[in-house]
Amino acid sequence: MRKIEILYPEVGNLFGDLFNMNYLKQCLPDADYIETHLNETPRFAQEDVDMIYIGPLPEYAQEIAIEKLMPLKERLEEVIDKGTVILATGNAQEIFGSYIENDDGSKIQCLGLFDAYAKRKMMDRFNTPFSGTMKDGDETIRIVGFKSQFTQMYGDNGNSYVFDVEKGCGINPESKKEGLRRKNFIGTNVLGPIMIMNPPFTRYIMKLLGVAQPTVAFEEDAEACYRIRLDEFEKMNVEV
Amino acid sequence: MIRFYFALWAAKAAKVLIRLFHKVIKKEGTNFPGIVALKLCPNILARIVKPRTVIAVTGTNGKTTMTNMISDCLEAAGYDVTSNRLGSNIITGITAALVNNATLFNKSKHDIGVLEVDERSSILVYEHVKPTYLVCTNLSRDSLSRNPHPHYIFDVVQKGLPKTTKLILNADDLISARLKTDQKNVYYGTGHMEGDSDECRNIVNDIQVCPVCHTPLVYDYVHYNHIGRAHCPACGFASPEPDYEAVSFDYGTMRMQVRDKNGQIYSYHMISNSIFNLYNEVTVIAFLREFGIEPDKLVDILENVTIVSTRYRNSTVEGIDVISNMAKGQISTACSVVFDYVSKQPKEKEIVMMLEDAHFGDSENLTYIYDTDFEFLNDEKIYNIVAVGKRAQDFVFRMLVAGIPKERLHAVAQMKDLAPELVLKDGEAVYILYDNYSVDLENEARNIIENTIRERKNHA
Repeated sequence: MRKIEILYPEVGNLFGDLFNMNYLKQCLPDADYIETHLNETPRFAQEDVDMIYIGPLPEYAQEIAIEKLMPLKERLEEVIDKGTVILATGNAQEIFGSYIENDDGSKIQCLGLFDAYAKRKMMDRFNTPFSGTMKDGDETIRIVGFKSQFTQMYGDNGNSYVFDVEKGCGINPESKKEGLRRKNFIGTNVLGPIMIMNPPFTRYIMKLLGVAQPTVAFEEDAEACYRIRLDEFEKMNVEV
Repeated sequence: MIRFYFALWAAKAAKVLIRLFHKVIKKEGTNFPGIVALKLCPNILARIVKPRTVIAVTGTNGKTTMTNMISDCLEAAGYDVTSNRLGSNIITGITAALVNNATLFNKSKHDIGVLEVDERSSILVYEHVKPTYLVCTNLSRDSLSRNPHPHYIFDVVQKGLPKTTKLILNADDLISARLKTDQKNVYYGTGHMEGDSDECRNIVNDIQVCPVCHTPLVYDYVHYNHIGRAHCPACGFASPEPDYEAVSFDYGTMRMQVRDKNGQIYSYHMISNSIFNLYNEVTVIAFLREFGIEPDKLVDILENVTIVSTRYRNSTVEGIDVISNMAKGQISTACSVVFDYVSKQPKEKEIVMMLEDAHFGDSENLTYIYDTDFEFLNDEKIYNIVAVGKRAQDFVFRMLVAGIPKERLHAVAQMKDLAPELVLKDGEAVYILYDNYSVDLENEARNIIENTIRERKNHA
C-alpha cells in the first residue's frame, strides 16, 4: 500500500490547499494517508514513504516547521535523492530553501536543500493569475492557478524549476521559471488547489507514485472546469 | 493650517457634488470626499476634529452589522452619534466620515463616532484616530488577496492599537482574545449551545495548537470553526472567562439570557436565530453595558433593533418561502456558517448559489471554496442546488468533491437560464445565497424565482 504523509496539516492548511490531498484521497483511495502533527516525529524519518505533502502555513507556523524539520535535514536530502514524491505548495517550499528574510532584514535559516531564498514583504500582498507548462514525457502539460503571497523567492532555479511561465511570473516578478524542482521534489507557489484545478498535473503526480493509467475523481467535471479556465487564461492579459 | 482647511472644504464640496450627481455616475461615492481630503492634505486625519468618544468596530465577520447595531442602540438611548455606516471602512471612508462630522471651522458636530475599521487599515487609522473603545467581533480567514490568515490580521491590529483604548473582545475566539493581554480587557462569549460539538466540524480551524507550547488544544465546545472554548492540556493556556456571557437561548420565544460580570442575568429579545447574529447581539450588550447603559434600558432598546435588510430578507409566494441570505463570497467562515444554518432549517429546500464575483473581472481566485464547508449542503432535504454565473461549473465541481450527488447539482452561466432548473415544490423554501458584491443579482434572482412560482401556479 502506498504511504502518503501529510506534514503538519493543523497549521499547513491555508488557501484550501489541503484539498490537494483530499482530492488525491478520492483519486487514490487505497493509499494510506498519514497525518503528522507538529509535536510528532514525521513518518518519513522512521521509514520510507511514497509521498510527502506540506501546504501553505502562517508565518509563525512556517518557522515552527523549520525548527521541527531542521534535525531531519539529512534524512530529507536522502529521501529526495531516493526519488520520493514531495509536494510543497505555497510558502511551504521556502522551508527547503536557504533562508527567509524578514521586512526588517533579519533572516530565518531554512533547510538549505535549494540555493534559493525568500524575502517577506508583509504589507505588500502579491496576487496574480498564473499559467504555465511542464513536460510529462513527450507531452506538454498546461497548468493554471493563482499566486497570492507576501514573499518572493530569489536565486538561480534555471535548472531546477517546475513550470515554464506563460502568464504571471515565476519565483519572483522578474522570473519566468516557477517553483523548485529536484528529482521528484516539486515546490510551487501556484495555488488552486493545483491538483484540483489541473487534472493533468494530478495524473502526473499519480504516475510518479507508480499508477500506470491514472484517472482522477469526477474526471469529466474536472476537465470541464480546467478547459474553461485554460480558454479564459489564454485570452487574459496578465500584468505583473 | 491653510492646506488643512482647503482640504476640509474641498472634501465637503466633493460631498455636495457627489450628492447632486450620484444618479448620473451611478455610484454612491461615499468615500470620495475622503479621497479628495487625503490627496490635498495627507495628514488630515491628524488635524481633523474627532468626536469626544470614538468607538472603533473591527473584526473579520460582523463589522457592518455591529456598527449599525451600536449606532442604532446609542441613538435609541438618546446619544448624538455619527458613523461611517453608509461608507467604506478603509482610511478614505474613515476620513470621509470625519469630514462629515466636522463643521466648516473644524468643530465636531457629534459627541460619539462609531467607526467600522477594516483590520488592515488599523495601523494607518489608529495612528491619528485613537479609539476610546475597540469592539472586535472575531478574527478568521478573510479574502486571501489581502488578509490571508487571521494570525497575520492579529499582528496588524495588535501593532496599530493605542495603549489607551479599552478593548471589548470575543472570549470564544482564541485569536482575537489574545489582543493586548497585558491590559484589562472586557470579554464576551456565548456558552454551550445546542448543536455544538467538542471538536471542529469545519474544514478550517485556525487555532488547533496551543500558541504557547504547540500541543493540540482540547476544545470544551465549538460553535463553528475555531469559535468556542478551548484549553491546552499541557501548559494550562485557556480561553479567557467572559465578563458577559449568553447562557441560554429560547428559540420559541426568541429570548436569550445574558449573565453580566456581576452575576446578574437579564433576558433580551433575540434579533435572529443565526449564530453570527447572536454573537453580534452579545457583543453589543457587552459594549453598551461597559459604555454605561443601564441593563433594564438596554433590554428595552434591544426589543426594537433589527439587522440590515440587505443581508437577509424573505417573502412567501404561493406557499413557497423565498429567502435571501448574504453569504459573503471569498470569506469561507461566513459562507460555512450560512451553509450550516440553511442545512439545519426544517423544510425541503432548493438553493440558488451566486457567491462568485467573476462578473466584475476576468477571473477571480476561487481557492476559498476549498476552505468552505460545502459538505454541510450534502443533505437530502436540499434536493436541488443551482449555481449561477461564470464560475458555476467550479462550484458544482466543489460540491461533487464534497460528496453531493450529481443529480442534485446544476450549473447555469447566466441568470436567464435559472428558471428551468428550479423545481419549486409546494411548501418548500428557496434560498438565494449571494455575495455582498451580488446585491443586484440577488434582486434579479428573486424576481425570477417569484415570477416563476406565480407563472407555474397560474398554469397549474
